[in-house]
Amino acid sequence: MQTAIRYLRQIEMKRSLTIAVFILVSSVTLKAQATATQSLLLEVKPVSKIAVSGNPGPLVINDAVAGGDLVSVSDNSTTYSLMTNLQSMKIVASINAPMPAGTRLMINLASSRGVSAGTVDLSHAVAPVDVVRGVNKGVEQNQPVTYIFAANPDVQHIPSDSRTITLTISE
Amino acid sequence: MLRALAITLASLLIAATGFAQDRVSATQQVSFAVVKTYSPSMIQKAIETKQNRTKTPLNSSPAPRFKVTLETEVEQHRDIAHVSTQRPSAFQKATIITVTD
Repeated sequence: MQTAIRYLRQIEMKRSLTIAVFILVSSVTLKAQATATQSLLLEVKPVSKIAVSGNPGPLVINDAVAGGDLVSVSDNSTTYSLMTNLQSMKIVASINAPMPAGTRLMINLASSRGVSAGTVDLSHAVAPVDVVRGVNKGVEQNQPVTYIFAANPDVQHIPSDSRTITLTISE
Repeated sequence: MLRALAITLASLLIAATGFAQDRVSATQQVSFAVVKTYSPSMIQKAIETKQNRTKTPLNSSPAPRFKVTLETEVEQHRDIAHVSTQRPSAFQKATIITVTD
């Protein structure tokens, strides 16, 4: 009789244990269903942008000075803006084709976040040359771009021509 | 874990290769021309050169950058209103100057 009772108790304990485990697993499952997790990968990539306001007006030399040096005209009607999240960037400029013999095309970029290289001769700068150095991260807006076109006094008539100047922000 | 590592490595690769592409450029079109004109001083200098050539050998003075033709002097009547106040020199001689390239 006692053996039977012990057997029944064991069965009862096993059942209770099974129920307890079931409840525990269920609660864990229910809890897992109430929470969802996601892993986010955040990154800020290097970004540098530069833009110009348009093209400068025609640079036409029509004054002659007897025995004088270079005759020049200039234009500062355009501006450039840039943004970068990098330190120590620079702006380089290049020309798509050399200027005619006896003439020079120069450029000057003002800068509030970097150091302007002053007036730079682009006449033969098919390879980029520095025009602004040490540009730190931030935004620079509406900085003047000045072009100077000069010709030797002995330069004969040059019909209207054009060149493409490329400004690039780089390391 | 491996997946996260792969994504990170891929991101780094993109960032490394994309950096060169972030060298953004802007272009400007610059038009230019040289239109030759003659200032009064240039014409005067050329005239003097031309006149000197009549007195000295041709090679003694620099060639002007443009041609100046001095035609025969002709008499030109000046403003009649000044004739009465001036001497006979009111009838002065003028020179026709032609400047060409």
